[in-house]
Amino acid sequence: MSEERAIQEEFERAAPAFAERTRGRFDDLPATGFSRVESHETVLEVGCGTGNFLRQFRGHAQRLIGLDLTAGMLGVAKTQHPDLGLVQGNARRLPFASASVDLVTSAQALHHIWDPIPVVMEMRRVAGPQGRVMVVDQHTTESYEQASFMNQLEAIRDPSHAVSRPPSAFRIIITSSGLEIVDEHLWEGTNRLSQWMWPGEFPEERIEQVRGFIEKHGPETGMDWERDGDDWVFTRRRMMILARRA
Amino acid sequence: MKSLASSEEAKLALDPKLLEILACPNCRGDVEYIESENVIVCRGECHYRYPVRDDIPVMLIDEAEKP
Repeated sequence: MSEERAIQEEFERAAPAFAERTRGRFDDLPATGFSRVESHETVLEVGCGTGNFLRQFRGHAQRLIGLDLTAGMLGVAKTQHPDLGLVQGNARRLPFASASVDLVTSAQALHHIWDPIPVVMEMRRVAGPQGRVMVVDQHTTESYEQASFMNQLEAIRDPSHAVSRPPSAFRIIITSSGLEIVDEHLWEGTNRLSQWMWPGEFPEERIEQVRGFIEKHGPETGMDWERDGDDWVFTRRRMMILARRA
Repeated sequence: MKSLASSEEAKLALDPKLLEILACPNCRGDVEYIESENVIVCRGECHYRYPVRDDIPVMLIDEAEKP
């Protein structure tokens, strides 16, 4: 199955419950300030899903545009955030003119993409010489072994997961895409298995498979899994990188 | 088939400022929204025609109607 088809299948399935589960997951990230967005600017999010990240820019920018591969996610975004401009499209071939957007961002999208450099290069093209690119994603520790176990776990949880990467890999992706890093921000928070795999969104057998993996390999993932009654708590790590054309 | 009412809504919902920055993902040409057909047409090299569904432009090469 192609990467695109896997993403569409998983997110068409998840769309109705996804917005509810992920509501507020970006609220602790100081994304708007970090982005240096200005009130006259246009912001594009590549892989906007149901708009939970993009909506944070409301009141900080003039125009918000979200692109996603999955019609179901965009349908939810349209209902919940009618002020967003929405487009269905593929991140590998962005349907936008060159240098047409001030800030091109993506949040929690690159870990669905095995080969992200063409995507970041497309973001660079649309941002143009004066624009900025901001990438936000979960990250692994710098341990290759821990990253490998975390990715095995993520792939059980979500068949459209490609690869979570350590911060050093994001820096290489950004600079290999013809950008230079302006700023970066590493964030850590706590999450729960019951929230990460909300029963309303995930099939029960998948939750059980993930539980089994955590019991067996939890300590090897670098995610600090700790049992809490029937639930598990873990550390979620995210990275934000702001970049401009090198 | 789309009803007249939903076509009218699509017309109103497609933001002219969004249309200004849209481009053909295949040839990168300029595009034009044809209100009467509720379709976005490439005016560059390929002339692909992209559907608009539920007021959302579907700018996927695989879903374009090709001349």
